[in-house]
Amino acid sequence: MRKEIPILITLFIGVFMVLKFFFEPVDWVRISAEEIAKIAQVVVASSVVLGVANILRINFRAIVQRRRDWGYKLALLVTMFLLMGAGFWAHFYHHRVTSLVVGDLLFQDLYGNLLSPLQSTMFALLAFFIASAAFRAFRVRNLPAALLMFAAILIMLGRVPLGHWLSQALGLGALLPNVADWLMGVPNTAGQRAILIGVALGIIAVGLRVIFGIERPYLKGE
Amino acid sequence: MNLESLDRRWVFLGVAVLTFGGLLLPFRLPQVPGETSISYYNALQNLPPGSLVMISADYSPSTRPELEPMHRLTIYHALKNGHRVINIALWDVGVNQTALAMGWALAQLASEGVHPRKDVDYLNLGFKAGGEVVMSQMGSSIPTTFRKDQEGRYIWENAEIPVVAGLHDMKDVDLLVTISAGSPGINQWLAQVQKRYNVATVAGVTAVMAPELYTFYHSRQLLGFLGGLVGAADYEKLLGMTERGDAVGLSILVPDFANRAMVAQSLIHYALVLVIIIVNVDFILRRRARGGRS
Repeated sequence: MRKEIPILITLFIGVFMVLKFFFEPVDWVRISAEEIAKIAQVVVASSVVLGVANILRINFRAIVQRRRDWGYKLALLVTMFLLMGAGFWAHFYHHRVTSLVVGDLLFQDLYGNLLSPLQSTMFALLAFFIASAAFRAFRVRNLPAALLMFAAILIMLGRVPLGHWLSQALGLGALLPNVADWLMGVPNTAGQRAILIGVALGIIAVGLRVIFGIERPYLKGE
Repeated sequence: MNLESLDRRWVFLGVAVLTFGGLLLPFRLPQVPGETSISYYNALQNLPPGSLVMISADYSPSTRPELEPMHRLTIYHALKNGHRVINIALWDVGVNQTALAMGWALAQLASEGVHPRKDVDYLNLGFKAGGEVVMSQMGSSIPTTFRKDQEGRYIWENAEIPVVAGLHDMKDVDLLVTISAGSPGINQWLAQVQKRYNVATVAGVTAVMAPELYTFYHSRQLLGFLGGLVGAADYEKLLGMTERGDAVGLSILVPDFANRAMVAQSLIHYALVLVIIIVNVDFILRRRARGGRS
């Protein structure tokens, strides 16, 4: 029964969600699917609590045992509780945090001056790594590599305002931007479509395998 | 000197100098809006006044420089044209981004003498966990998905909140806008809502996501989209923001932030192309010297 019950639940829910897609006007199908969706929302929301508990379990132990980088783990827990505390405090005592206009509350300050710059900084580092990777990766070793490199160069030249300016300065009209647009609109679209159709077929296959219990990732492969 | 073994810290230094230099340069480059950006603008511009525009903030601060200008300008554009704006978020920090974007748009509109009213012209339904499940549920019923607004008020059948009058499910939304940095985002909106309920949809996305949207744009599932900082710069140009901002400064809050940032992006692109060409010339010459082996 340890295996059969989860498989039956998956089959029941999977079939209902598929039925809803095709038979939405039928009341009992729609209403049942809506109820299942509500349960799913509660499960997803509950996973946040599990996530916090897991972070606490792993990091607290590392801090107590003074493992490597325990200082960073302490910073993680302190900032997590600081933001959580500020959020709860603002929610229960100051409803302005939920208004549309940015208030001057602790939570918004922490968000704007701590979380936002840190996340932006991490993402901005990508620019440096992409530049370094492009510098090393784009080599004319063979024909496909050369095609990739020339396409990348044309896109980089044509997709920015300097491309328009340069194209006109050279008396080429809007050639560079037009070439970049063509590359994005035709070869890129064709490739993306092929990938999307393949991915969609793969998702259908995996979905059916999970619904019928052939694959059971939720049972750790049992 | 072998360029292949060049210390990558020199590349990092070059990128840093060009980025900061580009942002500080006291001029802008002429921005020519692309086709997908013009289509995005037209999708909002051609709606009759009073239309219901739903804007979903599906991103986090990591992509703020690219997406926040699109987000706030979309709210500004919709409210200025007299549409009703319903904000939602499927990313937890999307509510904070909505607050920032909304604050900016209201301040900008106030400076132009336009004063949209909360609950009458706009409303924030807040964050809902569940991603695709939430989208699917909104297709059937928005009141059962979002029972309360962000402030915890029961909004449905409330005469004091007329902005949601006539809104039952996604078929009642005149235009769905998603400002999207990943999943749940535009791909899920297209699969769960756009095609199933035939909802007019546009998107503002990061530059790395833009290439995959062309296929949906050509099939008219997506009426238009803004791709990355260049898309935001296009939208600023179309809304006339380039005539308002000051020319120098690093603040993201200036109305023509994306246009000013395009100077830095242009310089980086062109410098990279130059470096790639030099490195390849060096690579070919060395290969020839070695007798054709790579």
